[in-house]
Amino acid sequence: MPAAPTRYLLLRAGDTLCAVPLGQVRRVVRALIVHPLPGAAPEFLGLAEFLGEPLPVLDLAALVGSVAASATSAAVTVVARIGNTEPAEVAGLNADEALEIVSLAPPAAGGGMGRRGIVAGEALAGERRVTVLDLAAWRAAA
Amino acid sequence: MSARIDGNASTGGAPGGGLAGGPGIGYLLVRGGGGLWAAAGEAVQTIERRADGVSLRLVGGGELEADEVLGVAPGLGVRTLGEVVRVCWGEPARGLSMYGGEPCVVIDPAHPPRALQPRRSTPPGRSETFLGGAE
Repeated sequence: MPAAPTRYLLLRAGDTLCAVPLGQVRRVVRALIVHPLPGAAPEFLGLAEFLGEPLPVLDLAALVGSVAASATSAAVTVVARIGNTEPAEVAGLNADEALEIVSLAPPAAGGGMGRRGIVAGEALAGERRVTVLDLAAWRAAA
Repeated sequence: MSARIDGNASTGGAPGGGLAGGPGIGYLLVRGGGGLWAAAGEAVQTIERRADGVSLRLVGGGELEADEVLGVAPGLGVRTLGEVVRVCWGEPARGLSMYGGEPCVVIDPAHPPRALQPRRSTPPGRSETFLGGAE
């Protein structure tokens, strides 16, 4: 029996369409001003202020290995729960566009791909091929 | 020419000799190495102006270099580093905070960030100690 569809937020990061489980999304805001930390990993853009608190911001295109990564032109920051720690850790994902909310069948078991393991697989949203993410699968190893 | 403020003299001195024992400096905020940093006053022994910035001598003997001192904050709400920062940045720190609407890293004086390590090309001399604790 196929898995029940899950709702995802569809984002564009470079040349890649990404689907983030809606349950992991806290808020979508205009791209936050990011202050880089010297010596950080390429997918880590730096820190931003969000609701008066420091928020780490990641480059979604770099996380999914998008060819046309465009960290400097990000239009939105998706504030989302990342990892599976308690208390929950929240981070920003910079993307080029937040497109729409779609229902997708979760990809088949496997996943753990992409930088930090957050790529769960691929799916079709209509005729568009999207990279399905699971931010809870975040892992330390790149 | 130099001007020196001995913060601990006014309070009878404080163990460790940090700035926090003197005029009530909780945290020093400095910009340098491409970042904004906070150092607990208790961990800073002297601040010295140099030709190309400032030098901070830490109570434990370490030294930092920064472009400028932005100010002091009597207290900062310090959040521990989450896993994202620990993994993607990889430097030890006491935590994160906010200063003037901008995120900053609260440094661990025992493990200062590489970005603030002294640049060996800094010309000696022409320095001015303008704030310092007891030595």
